[in-house]
Amino acid sequence: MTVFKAFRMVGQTGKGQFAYTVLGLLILLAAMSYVWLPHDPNYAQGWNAWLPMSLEHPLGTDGSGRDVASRLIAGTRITVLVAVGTGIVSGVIGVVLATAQTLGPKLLREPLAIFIDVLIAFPTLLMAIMFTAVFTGGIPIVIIAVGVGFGVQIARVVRAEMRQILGADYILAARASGVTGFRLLMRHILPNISSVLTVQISLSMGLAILAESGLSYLGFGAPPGVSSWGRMLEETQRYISIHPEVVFWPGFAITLTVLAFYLLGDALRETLDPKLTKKQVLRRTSLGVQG
Amino acid sequence: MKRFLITRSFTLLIGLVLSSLIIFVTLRLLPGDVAQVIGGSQASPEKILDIREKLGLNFPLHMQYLDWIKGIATGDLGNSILTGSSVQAEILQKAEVTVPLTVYSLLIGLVIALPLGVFTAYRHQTKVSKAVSLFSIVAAAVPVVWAGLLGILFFSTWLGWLPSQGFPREGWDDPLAAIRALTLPALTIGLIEGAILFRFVKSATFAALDAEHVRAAMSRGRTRFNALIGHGLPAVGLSIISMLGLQIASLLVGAVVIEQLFNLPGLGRMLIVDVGNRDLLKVQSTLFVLTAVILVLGALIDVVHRLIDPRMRIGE
Repeated sequence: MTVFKAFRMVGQTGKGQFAYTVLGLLILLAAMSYVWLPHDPNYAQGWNAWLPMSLEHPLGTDGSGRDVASRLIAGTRITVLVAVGTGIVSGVIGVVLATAQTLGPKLLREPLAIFIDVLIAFPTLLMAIMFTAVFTGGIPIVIIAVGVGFGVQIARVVRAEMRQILGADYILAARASGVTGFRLLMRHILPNISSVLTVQISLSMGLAILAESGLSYLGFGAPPGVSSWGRMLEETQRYISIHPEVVFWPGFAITLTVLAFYLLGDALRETLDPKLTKKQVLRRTSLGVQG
Repeated sequence: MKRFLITRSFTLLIGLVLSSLIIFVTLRLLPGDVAQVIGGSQASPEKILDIREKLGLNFPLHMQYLDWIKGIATGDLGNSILTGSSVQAEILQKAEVTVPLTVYSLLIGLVIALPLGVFTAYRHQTKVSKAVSLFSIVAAAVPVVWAGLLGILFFSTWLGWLPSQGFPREGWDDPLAAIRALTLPALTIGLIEGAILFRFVKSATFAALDAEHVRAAMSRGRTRFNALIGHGLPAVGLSIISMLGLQIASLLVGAVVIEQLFNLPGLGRMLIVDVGNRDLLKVQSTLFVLTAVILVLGALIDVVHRLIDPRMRIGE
């Protein structure tokens, strides 16, 4: 099944519909934030601090009098950027490393395998903290660090898949008719790992948003002037005993988005699983049954 | 077994060397003059020279690396550039918080994940099982910071059962207070970790229920429950043990964020402060110790797995 067809079929499952709704809304809000926002997310009015929900401020205001809803909407930009950025970086790293290991020069394969195993043991967040120690943080550093961290994990999964494919008869047939190297990779191998890759990237996008929230909380992510959900969590911590309601929104937004990526990955995996029929997929992917 | 021990120690050694190289090289990628960055823009030239001297920056790169490795091999992790205090003394002191926190979280995670995972796989059609499964995937999507904040809100602010900040000054001399201080942080990590472990336990139990030897036991007249407990669970236990290696890394990472959130004087918090202060030598050694712990524990788990799994001994 092609990946495009799988994406269409995922839309018929409960999980997929949930994921598409949340992610669609996320992209829509991020695009909208460049054109229009209810209020300036950084406009602090001290006299307007801690306003309750109202028509003027749908989710109230925070301790500096900034509109919470506007900050949440502006924060979607960072979320989309981190998810897409990490998805691309980790996908490219995963495919390149796996290809080098399966098709590359024989001398390179074993050292690369050890290298990948070490990098997998190296916790992603520690890698990000290390990069931050060198380059003083920021979203691009977060994307690169988290992308490398997940990229090596994707490499391991893709490598296993590639090995399996390389043993298949159609590869043998292609090789027998003289197809080698780059063309073999593009025409015969990549299309066949694309489904595994899509599932992995979808999961790593969700994990990347979690990692960004942790790093921004630690002060290594988004710079002060930029709205980010992780940063909002950090800013509200001091007021938690007085104004618990503002703690709720950024965390809720993060959870919903990450959940959407998880469920998308889950639904894709079940749709792409050749062992399941279409009817089984529709039954299994209705929300609540995770096999 | 002997052969396995030798090859595994060898790969562990390569792993340790490689990770030390990765850490060292990355931290030396620092653009510009390291000493200037550490000293700050207002530092006097004498101070910069002093920092260069302390860091050994006047030596070539490979000499610096070898010097550092030699120190590690002899148990000397160097001194902090800022305070001059011994790094390993401080790491040992901070580990008194981080290690119990990690173990405590893992225990909570296992206590949640094991029974629930086995039960939901055993009775996967019931409403309760479906609800638990749904909850687990939601819990795995919760950012650890938010879970901690909600925990503080619920257990400290509203119920007043547990302290929300800090660690007792007396440390482990007052064990009850220390455990109380660690309970909420451990619960936060344990719940999220438990949700991830749960999914592994559940799929392992599913696989066990479908395994041939379990089905054979059922065909001989054992009940489904009896066959699962007697014949299926050992395999589940083994796959969990092999999972733990990866989970230790994520527990330690969770501890970094949680220590910051709960103001606990542990390794993670120390690392964050050092990164902020650009105390590079200390960051370098701390990072290495953390990765070394993960790599060594991973190797140990491999050995234990090998020891107790009879299937791994085939062909020896």
